[in-house]
Amino acid sequence: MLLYAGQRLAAIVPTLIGVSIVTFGLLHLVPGGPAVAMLGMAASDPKAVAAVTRELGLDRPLPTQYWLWLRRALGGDFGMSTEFHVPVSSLLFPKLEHTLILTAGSLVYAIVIGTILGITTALYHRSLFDRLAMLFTLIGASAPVFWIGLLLSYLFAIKLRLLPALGMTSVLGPPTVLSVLEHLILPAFANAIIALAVIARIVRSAMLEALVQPYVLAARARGLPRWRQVVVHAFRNVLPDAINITGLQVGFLFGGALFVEVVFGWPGLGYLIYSSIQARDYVTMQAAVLIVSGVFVIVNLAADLARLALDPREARR
Amino acid sequence: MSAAAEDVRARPVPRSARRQAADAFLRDRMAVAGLIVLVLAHAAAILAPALTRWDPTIGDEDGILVPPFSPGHVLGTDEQGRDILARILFGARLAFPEAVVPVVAAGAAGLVLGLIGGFFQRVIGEAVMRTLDVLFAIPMVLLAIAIATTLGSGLPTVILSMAIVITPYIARVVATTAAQQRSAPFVEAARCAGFSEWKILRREILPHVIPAVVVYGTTNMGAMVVFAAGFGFLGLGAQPPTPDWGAMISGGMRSLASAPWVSTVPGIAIVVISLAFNYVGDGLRVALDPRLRTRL
Amino acid sequence: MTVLGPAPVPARAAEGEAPLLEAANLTVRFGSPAGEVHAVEDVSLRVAPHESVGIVGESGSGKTVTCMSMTWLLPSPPARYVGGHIRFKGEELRRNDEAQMRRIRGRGIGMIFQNARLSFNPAYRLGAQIAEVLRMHFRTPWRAQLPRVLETLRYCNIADAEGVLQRYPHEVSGGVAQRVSIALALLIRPDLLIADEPTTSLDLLSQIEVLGLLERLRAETGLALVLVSHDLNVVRRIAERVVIMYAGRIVEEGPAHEIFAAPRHPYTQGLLASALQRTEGGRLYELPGTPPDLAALPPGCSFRARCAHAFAPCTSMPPLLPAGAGHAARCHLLAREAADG
Ligand SMILES: Nc1ncnc2c1ncn2[C@@H]1O[C@H](COP(=O)(O)OP(=O)(O)OP(=O)(O)O)[C@@H](O)[C@H]1O
Ligand code: SF4
Ligand SMILES: [Mg+2]
Repeated sequence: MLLYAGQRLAAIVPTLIGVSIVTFGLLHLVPGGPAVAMLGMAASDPKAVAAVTRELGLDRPLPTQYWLWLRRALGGDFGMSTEFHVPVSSLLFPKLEHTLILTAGSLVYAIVIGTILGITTALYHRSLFDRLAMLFTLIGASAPVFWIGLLLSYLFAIKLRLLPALGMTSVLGPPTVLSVLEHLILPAFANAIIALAVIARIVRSAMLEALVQPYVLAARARGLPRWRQVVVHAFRNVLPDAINITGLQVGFLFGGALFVEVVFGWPGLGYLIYSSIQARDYVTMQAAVLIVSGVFVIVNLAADLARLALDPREARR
Repeated sequence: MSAAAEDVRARPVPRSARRQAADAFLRDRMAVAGLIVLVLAHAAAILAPALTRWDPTIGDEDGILVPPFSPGHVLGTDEQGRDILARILFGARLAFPEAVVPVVAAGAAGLVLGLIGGFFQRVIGEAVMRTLDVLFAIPMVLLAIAIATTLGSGLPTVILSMAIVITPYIARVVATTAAQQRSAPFVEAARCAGFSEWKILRREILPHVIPAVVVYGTTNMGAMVVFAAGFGFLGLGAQPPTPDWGAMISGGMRSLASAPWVSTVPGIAIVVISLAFNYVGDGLRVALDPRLRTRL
Repeated sequence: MTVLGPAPVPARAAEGEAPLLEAANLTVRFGSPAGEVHAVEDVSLRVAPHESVGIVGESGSGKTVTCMSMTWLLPSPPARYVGGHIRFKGEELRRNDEAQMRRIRGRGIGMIFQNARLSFNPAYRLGAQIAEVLRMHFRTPWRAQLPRVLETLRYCNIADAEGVLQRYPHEVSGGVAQRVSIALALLIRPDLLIADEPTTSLDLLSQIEVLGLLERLRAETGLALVLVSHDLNVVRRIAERVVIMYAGRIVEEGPAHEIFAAPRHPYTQGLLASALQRTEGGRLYELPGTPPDLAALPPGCSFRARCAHAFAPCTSMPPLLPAGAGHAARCHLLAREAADG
């Protein structure tokens, strides 16, 4: 187990290097090359171009350029935002925190509702409830998150006035945890829908399989109550699968956050990326891809290890 | 869709098996319904100019934000007074290529890469698979948006970036299927019988790999409709005033409180088409997998 | 005991003893694409206190479905309980009364299964699973239970009792798992133990060991036992009374010595012939033919297609006809003999 964990930990190093090469390459795809990308509007000044070329070693061979870039990035220096004229890192990290809050909120929704839905639909397999729930998850998974966000916003914020429509904290008064949570309810739910649907479907089909396993029947024959058969016995064996699929959903939640943040004015990375797209701020974009991918790789590793730890047959290998 | 159907026809399966598959597909009511929806929507996209008298790009200043079911504007108008039905119909002309072209392109690329990784399995195959692993490590939407932003907006960029980000997924499907087949006893037997690698590939591997790609691809066309809408929403897709479903949703955001239909209607179109692709993909999976087929 | 025909009086009931378990007219079916599977048809079964009953029949004859139905264990759907009553210690077992069934399952009627390893959850250690069940039934702390648990495990020939508690199901052999599951059933102290082919999936040595254990249990405790097998030889040493099932029905039942000495039903005779030859190491005698499709049972005696004695009346289903004290067989030949004699 420990050995395997070590192997997995070691295996993410080449992945991270690969990710950094891809993100490094992005700037070189910008029409006009990296110097133009780094300078934005100022690229019309040949002197500025010459300066940035010299400073970043853009006239050196690509591997050298990559190495110089990587060293700076590891030191937290992602360059200057061409839009906001401040170091990208000072833009990025506060926003990353906000996006992580949103993603975590969505994850809670997806895990809690998705799991409960998956278990109950499996228990009431082929009932009307099961059919409706599956139709709902299918539609939810086929709809754009930003559209769902807009519908929720229209219904709960504009029409019913139950929840705030925009932002992360209340404009009036100091920001409190409670007000953040209140602002989180709608965007996190909108963002969670697809992951929720996927988790519900995986849990449902795995539960359907687990519920007819001999050990569940044996638990029943030994006089254990129904809830223990379902939760302690059947669901426990679904857990590794559920964790695996949840880990994979985290990437989609990051992706979805990008759109949901735009709809709900959530001041996170997504909103930053959105403004970077509008302003063609390639440097900020590049850094955001790098950071989010890094977080994603680590989350997946954690999910993978958790799954292993929960499966005694795997763990002993 | 047409590409998927062609792939099915290209399978070197005996006639009876093909018949069985068709029968199984036709028994799946949701799949048939999905197929009908897709055919009708596709026809509507082609016939758009004949189906509406409105120009999707030119608004009527006297008739902005007309609610649905009004005379002349069945689905209402947007903030520039453009007929929403016309924009939906013309928008479908983008939605179909945006769904199909990236999948077909990625299907071809994924097939080659996946076979290199899963069937040939030499150093180069290993290298291909490791490279694809890297692409898995970057959240798909984010990577696609980064590529599209870098290359500049517009339909070709959107299609290219979608194709790039789904290629690893298709390659993985191909590689796992091919690797499974590769170690199957009858493939070993064929190899012992002196069949060339190419012949084994054509006779034993592709007949399993291609249906898997077709099923996976068709199901993902639904996701591509949603994905492309995301590009439109962010302003990365076809540029205004070209009607694009995703862009229509973001255009309606400003008038959400007073005219919710402007954003709602294109979303419904997206859900319907994406669901239809999903059901067709499901139907194909059952139809092309003999094990699932007999169980029904 | 039986539904059709005059009910023969079973030996124990004659002594005036109230039955421990009594199943009457049990009928269980399963929906399937090919039609409804008549898994168990009109089965009536009686087990007296301390009695041991063997149920024997080919694969698919409905033994497992019968056993599971004793505590309404089969999930429904897919199972469809068409009819039947179960009484345990004089109490009617109501199928939908979960509270009552939980009291009976494990505590009143214990059960062990064919594949013991699969009857334990792969995700938990054996000790934890034993603890869970005991906590449920006795509400005493694990530490107080532990000595009794170890003692019972050792009684079931598990030498390394402490070690086994720390193992996962996949880490022990099938034989050990079966002995642990017997130990667990015993720990709950049931009045009746139903063992559904407890040795079928085991290697020969473990088979002998588990059967020996069951025999010892019979002799040393007052436990009533239902032992299911497709092999007459397995029940021979243990059962006082034997029930033969074919295509979902009881085709013969009676005291063990009579069934082995003078089987009356042609199917039982065939089974016995094959069982005897196997023990004597001779050429294997196999019953020719296969059992009928339970989804499309032909009218008449289910055994007709394989029966060497079939004659005209066999196109109707024979009732269970008396063949001595506590002995009955479902065959028209008995009626003919009675008429002839
Ligand atoms: N869950 C189920 N769904 C459908 N049919 C079933 C189900 N369980 C049992 N059956 C059918 O009921 C019939 C009786 O099965 P049962 O398991 O009781 O036989 P058995 O005598 O125990 O055989 P074996 O020696 O193989 O254990 C079989 O034909 C089987 O196909
Ligand atoms: S009833 Fe007829 S067919 Fe059935 S066992 Fe007796 S003789 Fe054979
Ligand atoms: Mg059985």
